Amino acid sequence: MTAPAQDALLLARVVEGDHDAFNEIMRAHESRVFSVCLRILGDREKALDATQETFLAAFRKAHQFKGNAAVGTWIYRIAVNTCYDQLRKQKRRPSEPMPEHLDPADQSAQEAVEAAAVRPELRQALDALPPEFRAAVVLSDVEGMSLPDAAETLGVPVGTVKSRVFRGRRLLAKHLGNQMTS
Amino acid sequence: MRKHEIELIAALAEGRLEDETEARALVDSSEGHRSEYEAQKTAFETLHAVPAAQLTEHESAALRRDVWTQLRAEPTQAAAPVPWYYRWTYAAAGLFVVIGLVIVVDQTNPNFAPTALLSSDDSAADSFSATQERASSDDGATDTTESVAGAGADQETADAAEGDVPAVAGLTAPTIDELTDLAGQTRRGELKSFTLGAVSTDQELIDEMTLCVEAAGLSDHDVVGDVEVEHHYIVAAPARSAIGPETPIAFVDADICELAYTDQSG
Repeated sequence: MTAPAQDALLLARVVEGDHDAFNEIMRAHESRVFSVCLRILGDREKALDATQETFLAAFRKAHQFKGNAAVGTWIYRIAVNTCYDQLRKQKRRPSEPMPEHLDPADQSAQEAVEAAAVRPELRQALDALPPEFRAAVVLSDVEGMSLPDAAETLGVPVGTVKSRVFRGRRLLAKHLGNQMTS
Repeated sequence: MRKHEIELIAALAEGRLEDETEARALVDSSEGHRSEYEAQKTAFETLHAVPAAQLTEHESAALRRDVWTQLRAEPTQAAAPVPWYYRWTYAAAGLFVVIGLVIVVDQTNPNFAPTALLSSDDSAADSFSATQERASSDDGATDTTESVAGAGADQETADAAEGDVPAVAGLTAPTIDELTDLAGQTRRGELKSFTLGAVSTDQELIDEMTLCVEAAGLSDHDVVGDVEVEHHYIVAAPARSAIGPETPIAFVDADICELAYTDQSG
């Protein structure tokens, strides 16, 4: 059975009250959800919060899933929208960037943070992109999603995603160039 | 630069082309095309080299624990106080349904004694008895019609009463109250959008919201704003008509592009 078909069956079981099925869905998608959120939000702690919010929303809305898209796509869509919400809230209530949160009991955390780290100038350039462009380049160029998959995840036509990716890259290159010359 | 030119340049930058001749010629044709190619290539290669982020085992376990802790705590939150008039509306609707059923059963079984089911001091029962007396004293055929029409009217009343309580799933009463208030603001032209206008006038964002509204089955609606009440909702109203006191206002959940709530009128 393909992963999307298995996911759809799992989600149907979630609706019937099977909590183990939801744990399986979380296990299958948590890393990518977290990765997308980390690259959009740029902060591990916020990305963890957004990942949690994403799965809470997915559980609450499981009964509304119509099967028009793969369960994974549906979950990534919720994730991207959760990140947009966080960015909007951040914009309304600007706060100091939070330091990387490391649990002392988690010895692998430092390693994970270092492995996932991006160059500060790239982080700044990503942060400078409008959220819609940032999400498009993250899904397409960082996560390696095809343009149709990215379009489905973002809920926009493929042409719109293309435009956002190309414009996002242009802006990103400009920011990177400016940082190098300054 | 034309759209297909940018697509060709991007494909070259991503290394997707089997035959690069046309794209290379395009890049060499002007400084603008060359700088577009450099930008696409730099950004694509930089982003492509970003390592995949992983949750640690500890974070993964904590995530699942926190999600379940929160979900298990939710029934308590769902038991938030419901305004008194909601309970009465539900009670009234339920009563009308019972009366409607009794009348229908009575039509099919003349020996059925509905008043036995209802207490004598119940006003609804009294009015029902009055209807019965009137029906039994008049001609049967005509009365049957009248009685059925009466039952229909009662059912309509019940439906209307139910209509006062919006058919919503998963929304708490305070959220409905707030959305109703925001619908009023929309009708009065006082809605302050959460994103549109305040943060962004990006046409693509508006287009995206429009697509979301369409996906929610409201293709005949226009986006009039967006609000945040627990969730992010897109506010939409029927297209091609001015928004007035009677305009139904729809709230579409922006996360999943599903209709969450419609406020019928002020």
